[in-house]
Amino acid sequence: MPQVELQFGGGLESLTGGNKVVPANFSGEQVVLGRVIDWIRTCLIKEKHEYFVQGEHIRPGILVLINDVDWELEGKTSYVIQEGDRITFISTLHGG
Amino acid sequence: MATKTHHCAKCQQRATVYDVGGSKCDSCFQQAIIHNFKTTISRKGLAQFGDNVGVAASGGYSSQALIDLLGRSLSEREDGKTSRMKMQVTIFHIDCESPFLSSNAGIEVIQPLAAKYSFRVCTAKASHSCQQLWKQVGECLAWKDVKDIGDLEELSRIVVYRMVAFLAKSQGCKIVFDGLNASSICRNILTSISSGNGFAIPFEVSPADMSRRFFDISIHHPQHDITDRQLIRYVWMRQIGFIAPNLTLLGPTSSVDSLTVSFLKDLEEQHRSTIPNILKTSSRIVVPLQFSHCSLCRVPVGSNGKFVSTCTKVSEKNDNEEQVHALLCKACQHRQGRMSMETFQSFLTSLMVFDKALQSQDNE
Repeated sequence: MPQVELQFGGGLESLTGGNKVVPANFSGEQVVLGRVIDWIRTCLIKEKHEYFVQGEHIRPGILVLINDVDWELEGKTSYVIQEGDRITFISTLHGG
Repeated sequence: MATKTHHCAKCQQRATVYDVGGSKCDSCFQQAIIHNFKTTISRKGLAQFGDNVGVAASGGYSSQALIDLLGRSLSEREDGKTSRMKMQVTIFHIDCESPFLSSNAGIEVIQPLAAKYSFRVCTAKASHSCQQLWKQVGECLAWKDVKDIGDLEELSRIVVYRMVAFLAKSQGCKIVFDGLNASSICRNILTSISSGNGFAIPFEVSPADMSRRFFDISIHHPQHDITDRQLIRYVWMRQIGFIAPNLTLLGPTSSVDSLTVSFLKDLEEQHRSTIPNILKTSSRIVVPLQFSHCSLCRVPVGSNGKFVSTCTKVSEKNDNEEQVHALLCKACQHRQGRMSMETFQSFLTSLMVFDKALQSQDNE
């Protein structure tokens, strides 16, 4: 049952009630990042889901880091989360 | 199944950044960004040794990256020796309130970063004459009457850039760097095309300001070849604070700018070289030799500009008004149609007074 830390930045924290850091536990083994994203979409974000996802996928323009490494280098949604992982979501869509 | 470990294209250490030119470790990524930044400044002649340079900073990730990159460029070299670049830097921040401008939040992240590199900070609120001008322009606009979100954003930008130019002039800076990056420049190019302002493209795509939009203040874009993704990755890696918008107040389809950004992001997802391709292609358009400026947004205007009549005060000492002709670009012509005549005329007249003040500073 891995416990991970979810971080939100670039304005995405406004979708999680202002919380920049959210700890989360996931039951089962071999929990992939895709399942974490699904949980965020359905349980954590209450409004303006379109800023986080496009259909079932992460919205283009959102940077995803796994322990400060770009998720493209870690298998994206297929990455199996480990105990203590830090998953970061940062929006590049507005501001600068 | 274990994920394959990727190695830095330059030093073979473990790669942490997925980048267009090849995956990189943190250190090589930062060095590449700094090199890109310094090369743009030197090759495009954005500033010379010893220049007095201003930095337009909102507190967002792009302008925070700009301050940090400039600070590092002026203080260090890759080989550890002292940098050869030398400039006097002043940070300009507009902290007057409007629907889209931050008040204190921006300055709270700007000041610590500026202090780190011993950069001076100059704000609109600290300048009496700037405050007076804001009263004339910013407060005269009936913001609630402007229904289009895109118009609100653009009108805020129009005022902010003028105030930055005014502040720069008052501090003796003829050069200002802003945080426009490769992604925002591409957005501006596509928005210009869709709003009928194609004439402005060769000016928008250039890292150096060739438009003379703000008389003799040049506003350059040293982050011209760096994408927004690279910049936000850079500030996150360096743990640099920045302000971000409250997304619950906006919608992704709320303005032409937002729609264009969404379109670009979708394209970039599938075709990583979208941004560099747009910049490269647009840079082939020849810069026109003769042009005028839109009286509202100051973009260069060609033959599709339109003259409108407005009244402006002859002087502050009396209420006599004279009728003057203002030139509007295509985008501002459409903007005029979306606002009430009274609101538009009032705003346009105030801006023309502002521009006279900016020009009179030129002559001092």
